[in-house]
Amino acid sequence: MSTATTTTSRFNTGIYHGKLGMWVFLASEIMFFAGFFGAFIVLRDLNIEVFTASAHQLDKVVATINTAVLIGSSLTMALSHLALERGNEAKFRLFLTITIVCAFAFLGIKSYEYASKFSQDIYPWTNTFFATYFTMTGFHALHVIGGIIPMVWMLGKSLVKGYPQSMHHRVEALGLYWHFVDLVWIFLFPTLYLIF
Amino acid sequence: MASGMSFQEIQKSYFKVFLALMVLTALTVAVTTIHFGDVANIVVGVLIATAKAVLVAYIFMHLKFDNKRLRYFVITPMFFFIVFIFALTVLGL
Repeated sequence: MSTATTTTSRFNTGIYHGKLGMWVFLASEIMFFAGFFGAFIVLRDLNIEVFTASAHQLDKVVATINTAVLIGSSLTMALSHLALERGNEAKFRLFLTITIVCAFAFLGIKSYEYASKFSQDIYPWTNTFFATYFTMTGFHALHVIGGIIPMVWMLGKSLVKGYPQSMHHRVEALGLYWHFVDLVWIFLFPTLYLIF
Repeated sequence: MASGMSFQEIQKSYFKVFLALMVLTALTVAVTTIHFGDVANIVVGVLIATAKAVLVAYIFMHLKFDNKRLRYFVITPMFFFIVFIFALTVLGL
């Protein structure tokens, strides 16, 4: 298969196929998370007391720190792509490493939150609020893990063989995915922690 | 990047967006201490989140710099998303 169409802009769309494919995937991801938000709204309407009482048990401070960590990782992801596009592979590696560290920090903080809930005998089956809370944040955390894997792969490739500037499109596509993961959290954060 | 912006300008815009996102995060947490009313608090939260989302999509995700036709890939699912949420909340279906 020729790779030309994956790295050069097409005359009819003005973008290369890799980016178009990622946007189509992200469009489907919007609908995937729409299901969760829809379920959340319906269940909240039916169990407003349970939802209000349970949401107040969540740790807002920790979640705010986690929001900042994820937004920071979005910045470094954007900077790492920009560096590679400019042909500065050392900076690309530096910013990609920071992004990976932030991603792991996010998962670590999330695990701490989960662990402190478990230690208070709060589980996904405790009530409908925590069922939706663990489902939504759990699927979001899976998306974070899904982002870490190609990031580590790219970093490894860059360290072993070098990452060519001509392949910066792949980093851009991964960046699109990563910013989307950040976007989902931007909506999850007020929905689960703040509106009650 | 077919935007006519220099790398320095793009990098600067990334940092500006990051700062704006941090300020909006602080703001959305701060306003929870004020009680506007149950519905109003939700509306404020959603509005701030939407402002943050637009910044991320427009600058970090390059929608500002890319072919304008690409925006339909965001507008189309967002349209259905909003219809879906509107039906569940305002219409109470």
